Amino acid sequence: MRLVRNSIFTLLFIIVGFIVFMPKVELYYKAEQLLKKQGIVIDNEEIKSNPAALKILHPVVYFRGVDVARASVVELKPLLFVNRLKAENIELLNVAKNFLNISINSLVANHTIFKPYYIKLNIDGNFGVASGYIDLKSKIIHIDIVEPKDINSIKKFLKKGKKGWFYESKI
Amino acid sequence: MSQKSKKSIFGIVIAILLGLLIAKSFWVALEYKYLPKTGEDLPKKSGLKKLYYHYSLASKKDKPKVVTKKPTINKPKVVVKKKPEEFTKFTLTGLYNAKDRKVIIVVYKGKSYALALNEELAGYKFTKLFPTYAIFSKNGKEYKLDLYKKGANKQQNSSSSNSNPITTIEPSKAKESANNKIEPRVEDGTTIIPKTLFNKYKGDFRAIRRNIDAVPNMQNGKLNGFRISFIRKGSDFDKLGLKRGDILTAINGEPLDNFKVPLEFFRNADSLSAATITIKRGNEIKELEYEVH
Repeated sequence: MRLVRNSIFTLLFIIVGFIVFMPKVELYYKAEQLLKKQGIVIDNEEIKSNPAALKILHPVVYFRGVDVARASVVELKPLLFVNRLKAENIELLNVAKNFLNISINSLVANHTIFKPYYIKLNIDGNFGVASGYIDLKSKIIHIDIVEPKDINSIKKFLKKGKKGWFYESKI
Repeated sequence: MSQKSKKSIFGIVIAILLGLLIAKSFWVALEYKYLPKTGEDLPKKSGLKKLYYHYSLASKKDKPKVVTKKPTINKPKVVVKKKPEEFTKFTLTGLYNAKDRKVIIVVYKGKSYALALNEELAGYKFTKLFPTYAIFSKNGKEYKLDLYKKGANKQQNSSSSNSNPITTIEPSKAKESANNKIEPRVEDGTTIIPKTLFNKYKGDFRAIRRNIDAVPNMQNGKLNGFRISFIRKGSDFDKLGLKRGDILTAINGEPLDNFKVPLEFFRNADSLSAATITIKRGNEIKELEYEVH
């Protein structure tokens, strides 16, 4: 009995240790390295790390050398079973702004290891409130505009469905 | 506390420490073996290079003095060359024409001098600067000094018996009158791009794409320029001498190996006074030179 109890404690603290001791900054650098291979560079950021989360302040995203977006803060919570990314005040820049004139107040992406190929999205922007998902298996991104506000400028990218306007694309 | 419960607590503490130790060891091993210590930043580039830079070649001894006296207003309409032989060794080899600073490089008696506006050399004061020539004044007369071009001497000699690069002009002609034009034009064999043209297209990518389209040109998986896939006949871009199939490889010597350079070019066009576009046409590498004003 004691052995079972101690094993449970060990397992529990392995999980706690995994979260607390996770080298979040180094993992972020690794992610940056992988993104760079795709032509994406995150620059101008200030990184703050605590045992439960990683905060990236004022990052600017560059695609093939061109600044395409910036955010005021991106917070990552890698809690092993449930991972969460929250980005605030996303603003498109340059060419991206020319093609898609939107701004996002907040974007929340949730991922759980119980559905490893599924990322749930919740977006609040100048176009309204949207929710959707990224299916990593079929490489599809689907976003439903739940409460549309001003979608005229992005209508050309949207499709009309039974539930309303939605965006769907292969990634 | 009984011996049994002491053992129990000790067992729990050991279990906790073991759990934490396993987790920490795992991350340390991973960090040491696979994770980078630094992040990836954008390579810092100064943006688009300007073609001409300010530099001084004159030694302190030879350095021309700055004349603060305002130029005389009463200038004769036609200036007669008094001593043209004085200027036979006076050649304009380079110029830097920006809003805030105008500098020219002249060769005089085999030596190079950098002259800023209103500086004097051999009694001639550098008073005005245009994209292809500079104006000097002496004793109320104005002299035009053309930018030295390779191969131009032969033509000059054949057309005129006087090889002196300095020619006199009427002061009224010194004013540029074509600033209101918004189309590229050719003057004295040089293509002039009016800045208004940049304003016309600045930020309007649709307008650009209506006239010209280019696709990234990849080599070994790396971007090495942009191939012009479409160019509208008679458009502003057509007048720049670009042709369909040309591969743009550099702007002002800056290789087009990323998307930032062409964007920076449009963004900073206001500050440019000259531009060079390097293209690959067939197997030939060409440099298209422009003046921007």
